[in-house]
Amino acid sequence: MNLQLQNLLEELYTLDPTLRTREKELKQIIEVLLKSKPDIKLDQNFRERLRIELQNHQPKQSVFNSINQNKMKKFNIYFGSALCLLLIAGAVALQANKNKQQLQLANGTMLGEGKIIRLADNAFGSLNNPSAGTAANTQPVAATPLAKSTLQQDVSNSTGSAPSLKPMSPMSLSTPASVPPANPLLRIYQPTELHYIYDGPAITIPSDKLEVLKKTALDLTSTQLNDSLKNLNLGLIDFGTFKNLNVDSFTVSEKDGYSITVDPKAGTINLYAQNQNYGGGCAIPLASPMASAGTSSSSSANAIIRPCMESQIKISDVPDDQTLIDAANKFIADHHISLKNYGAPEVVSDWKIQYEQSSDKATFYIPTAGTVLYPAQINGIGVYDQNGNKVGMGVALNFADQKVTSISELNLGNYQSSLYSTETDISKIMAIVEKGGTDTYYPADANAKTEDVQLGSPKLQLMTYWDYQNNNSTELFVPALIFPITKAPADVPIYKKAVVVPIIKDILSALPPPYQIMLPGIKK
Amino acid sequence: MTQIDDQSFNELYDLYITKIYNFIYYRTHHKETAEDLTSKTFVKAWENLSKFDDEKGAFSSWIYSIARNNLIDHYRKEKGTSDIDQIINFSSSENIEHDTGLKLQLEQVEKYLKELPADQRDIVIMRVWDDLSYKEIAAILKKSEASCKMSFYRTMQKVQTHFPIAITLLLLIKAF
Repeated sequence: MNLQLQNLLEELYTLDPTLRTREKELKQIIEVLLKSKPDIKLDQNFRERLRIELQNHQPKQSVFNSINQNKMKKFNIYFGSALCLLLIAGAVALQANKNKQQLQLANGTMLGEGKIIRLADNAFGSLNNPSAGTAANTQPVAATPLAKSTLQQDVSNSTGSAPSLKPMSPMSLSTPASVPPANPLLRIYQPTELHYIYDGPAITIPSDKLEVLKKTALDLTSTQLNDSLKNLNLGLIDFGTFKNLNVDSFTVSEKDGYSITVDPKAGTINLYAQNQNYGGGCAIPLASPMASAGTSSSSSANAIIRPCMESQIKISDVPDDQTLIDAANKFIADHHISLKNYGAPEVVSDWKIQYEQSSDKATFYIPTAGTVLYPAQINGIGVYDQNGNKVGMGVALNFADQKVTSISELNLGNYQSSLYSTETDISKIMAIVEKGGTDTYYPADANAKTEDVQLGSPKLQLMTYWDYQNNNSTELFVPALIFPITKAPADVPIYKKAVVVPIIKDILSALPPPYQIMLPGIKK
Repeated sequence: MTQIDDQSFNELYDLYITKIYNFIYYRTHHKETAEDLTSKTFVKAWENLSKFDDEKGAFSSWIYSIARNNLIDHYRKEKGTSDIDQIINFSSSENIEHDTGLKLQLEQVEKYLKELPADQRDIVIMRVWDDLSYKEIAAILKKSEASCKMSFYRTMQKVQTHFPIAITLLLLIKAF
């Protein structure tokens, strides 16, 4: 019996032992309740975006200073801090010894090299069967630094027969004027059924197999960084007594400056300025000098919290896009950050559309920071999320002084790839397009008004896709058709910039039917 | 932010991000809204960490309370109601679409549960879906633990004794 079900029953029996005689009925009722629990998958991009946003937020107090009851966690933190200091010391020593040599990995590759290791077909397991991943063949069959991928090759070859599937050049992030940005709290709910219409040239899928890619985790096992740490004896504890000790992830920090976290498993590096106020927040009035990388933590921590309106900035205070891009570029150049795997930078400015549409511009909240996005490119192909937003490295800057406050998702840039069968039945793909993609929903109201959303010619790009196998989630990059929204009703909120349809057969066959918001399926 | 702050933050964030997102999603059934309210919840929690007092309650209850208040504010703005239980929909789970038998079972149970007082229904959802302990539920709803237990017990008792049709159907469906 399910443990949760068992617990719930036992709790009831504790209150009324006579209920045991009706266990069968109770069990069935609770089972129905448990089965009706929505099956939810948290968007991992959202999870990491919010993490970065919060890390940039001005902390008020270490929560662990407040939570006295969890002593073990405190120990872990102190231990973690000590380890972090060691890592910093180790990294500094390593850097001095190697005279700033670039870190070389066990297989001879460098970080950010853009190497793609080609695996056998279907190497990541069945993408529609959560339990199929363990049988996958993950042995490399070829290693090709920046080899022209199947995806890119086929897209290029398809130019003649399917002009709409040409490789996409970096485009502006600006949303069509008629498409409001996502902010559900600012809208009044009105049931509307959206019909997505594509009436452009016929679509063809360039090949019956295309590459699916997976980010390669950074293996520090055989690096000097790992070697210098694993035999370290602190006096308090001797690392050398542990077997196969490896550096998992590490953070290095400037004093009152920037903090950089390398996450080998996620294959990313994130950077943020310590003691910065939250980009969109209200913690520190703008009239006072902005918290900068050099501001002491104590002064920041004691900042007076004022209401948002007091820190409101004017639209005229917002630097133009080129100023922000120049500032981001300078920071990147100063710190030798590789842009090898990224396209031309673009300013994310969805809020400006909302501002332009606002009837009360005087009270419209203008953010105090913005983001310059360097769109990720894998073998020259753009990467999108399921809502049609470009995915890439985000550089956040304060509007006031154009100081960089964070860099998120600097990818290590190496991948594995594997061929998967594509869905070549265009009617199946178009059925998904008409519904608005793979994650759409329908309003409940039977009397909902119907509105058309016009779509432009699709481009074959990559979509981020989280594959769940054996209780682990893996980020994959799968070929997908991106249909840009070209015309949408002005008064209906649409949360996406494009309709995105992955074209890998496994993924499409695993899609659940679109769910219905506020509409019980049982009432059909 | 000190290293300690950062590490403790990451631990708490990883511990609660999915739970809070699910808690909100169960009550909105809308991805973007759930993400927006989850963001607001964490930002608010992060901003007010200094006000949190572990002697007054667990961190989990505190952050769930913030999430619940955000939901109430959301409904007030969107629907003109602060009763979040009016929104709860037992049957929008994707897996139900595939299971006709389950739909039928659920229809019967849902029909009864919708007639229950909102607070009783809320406790059922928190206990069964959110998997919160009675202690946590009590702290979030500002009730006693005993009354929450009793409420859940009474709800289950009513469902199984006052709704024989549902039980009959359940048994019939099970038999086939």
